[in-house]
Amino acid sequence: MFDPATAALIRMAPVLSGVDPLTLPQELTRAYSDLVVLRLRGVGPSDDPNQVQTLRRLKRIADIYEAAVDSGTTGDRRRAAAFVAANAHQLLARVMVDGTGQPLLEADAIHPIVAAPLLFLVAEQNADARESARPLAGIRLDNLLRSAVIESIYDLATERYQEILARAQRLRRARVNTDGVWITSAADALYGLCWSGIVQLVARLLDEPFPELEFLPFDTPQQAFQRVAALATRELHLDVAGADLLSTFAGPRHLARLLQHLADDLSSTGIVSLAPPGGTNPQFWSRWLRHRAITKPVLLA
Amino acid sequence: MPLQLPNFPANPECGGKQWAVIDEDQLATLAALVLIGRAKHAENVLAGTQRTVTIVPDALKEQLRRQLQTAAGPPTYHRDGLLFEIISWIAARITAAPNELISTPHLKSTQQGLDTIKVGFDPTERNVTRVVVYEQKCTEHARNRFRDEVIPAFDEWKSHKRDNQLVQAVTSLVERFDLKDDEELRLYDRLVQAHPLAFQAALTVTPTPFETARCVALFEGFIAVTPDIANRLGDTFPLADIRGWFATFAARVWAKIEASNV
Repeated sequence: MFDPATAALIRMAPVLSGVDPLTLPQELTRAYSDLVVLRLRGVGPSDDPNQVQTLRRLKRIADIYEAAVDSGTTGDRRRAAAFVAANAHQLLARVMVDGTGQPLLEADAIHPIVAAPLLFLVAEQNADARESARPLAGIRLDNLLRSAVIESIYDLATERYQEILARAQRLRRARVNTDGVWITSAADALYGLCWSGIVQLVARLLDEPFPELEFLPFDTPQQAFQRVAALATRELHLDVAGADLLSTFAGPRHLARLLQHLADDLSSTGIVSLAPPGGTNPQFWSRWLRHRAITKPVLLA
Repeated sequence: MPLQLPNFPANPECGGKQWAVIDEDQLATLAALVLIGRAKHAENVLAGTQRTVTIVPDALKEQLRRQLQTAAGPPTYHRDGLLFEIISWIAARITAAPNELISTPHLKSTQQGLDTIKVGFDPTERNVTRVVVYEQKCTEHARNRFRDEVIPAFDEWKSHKRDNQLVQAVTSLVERFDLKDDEELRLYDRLVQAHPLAFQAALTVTPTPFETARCVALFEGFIAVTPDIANRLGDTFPLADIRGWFATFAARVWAKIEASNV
């Protein structure tokens, strides 16, 4: 199932209790083939006790490695953890009929099908990111800003960068609705700034102007994502001794952390920043790169 | 201390406490501080993310007034639920051991969202010791809500179905400990694989007094959630008139906010 380079990447994942990264490629391959066989036979995984154990183990591996991408890993270990988490999420999404019933973007969490394409992008596996984004195709939420986030993540994973900018132009006056309860508005605002950061990232990769949205502009998309993470948690002060009481928006925070890591990676792989070869007219080179970036914005698999 | 929280186990179903308000005025002050703190957090987020934010004078107070002075029916049930959650956070804060953190999550669009969690952290081992998952129900039908909503919710946590929510919540809470990379990894590993979860249900109940035998009947079925009774906690808040008490309490909390300088 995995080519040698991908298997080598998987083996760089951090060691967990009961999980040996050296044998993870085989384990993931075996889990995939077992589940496909069951599916071809028309047997649900929940009907087979062995497969129930496999699914549970896969879910645990996915959840731990996804957290490790948020914080706890860097460099190749992060890429490897991201790949294994995304791969396990993707496998689970294929065989689980009902999923968790959890909404895609809530104040307290984001859904694994939103995280999976982002994790593949952090792992610099763009072809897998495209594939794993398929469940997000055509999804529209009632909440305009949260819908823009989902649609833009789909477009980011499928390299439809122009669509992200076109949507930003259409929604440039989209604001957070503060008529209701502020706590709900605040979650929208944090997701909205994540969206703005995605738009800025893509504008940079295409060397296009960053559309002026209703969200605060920052020098870099990474700074926008850092702002989301910084604002997401706050201690509540009470005049009575005891444990710290924290007001938290864990969902937007986690999304911002994943986006921050992939922005770090994508920013260094965008083709528009390539220096002109010797003897090339710089203006011609720049125009050609911008044209080329529309269909191939980054230099990745 | 605003609350008296004596141990009140419902053996063999669960341990737990029974709450009694001993200083309603102080409790109202603390509830007002929680509401103001959360609204200020939201205000801070709105101002820190958007280009232009028009905050009119007294907007924060008006927000909170609308949350506390509600129309009859579902908005009032919602208000009572929020106040009950806040009281449970205060109870959790007062009774917490050292190095415990309590999350106060935000409104959810479904019944499946995360309720409060309390994370215990060992500063020597630099790892999580235990996570208490809370389900709070302000209701006049405690037994039905416990059987039909609380137990299924705990079963979902227990069966790892909501581990991604658990992990995201804990990740945001433990940020403040400045863990090194390998410590973070060990923490997530333990959280998901050892799954050191305890479950705490808290329900309003009537009549008063609400004796042990009634608690045992209320929490019937809890024993099947997890084997160790130390990890099954059932708290009760007996009130003679549940809706009447919360109406009075909401007015008292609003009076504190209205008189405050926010």
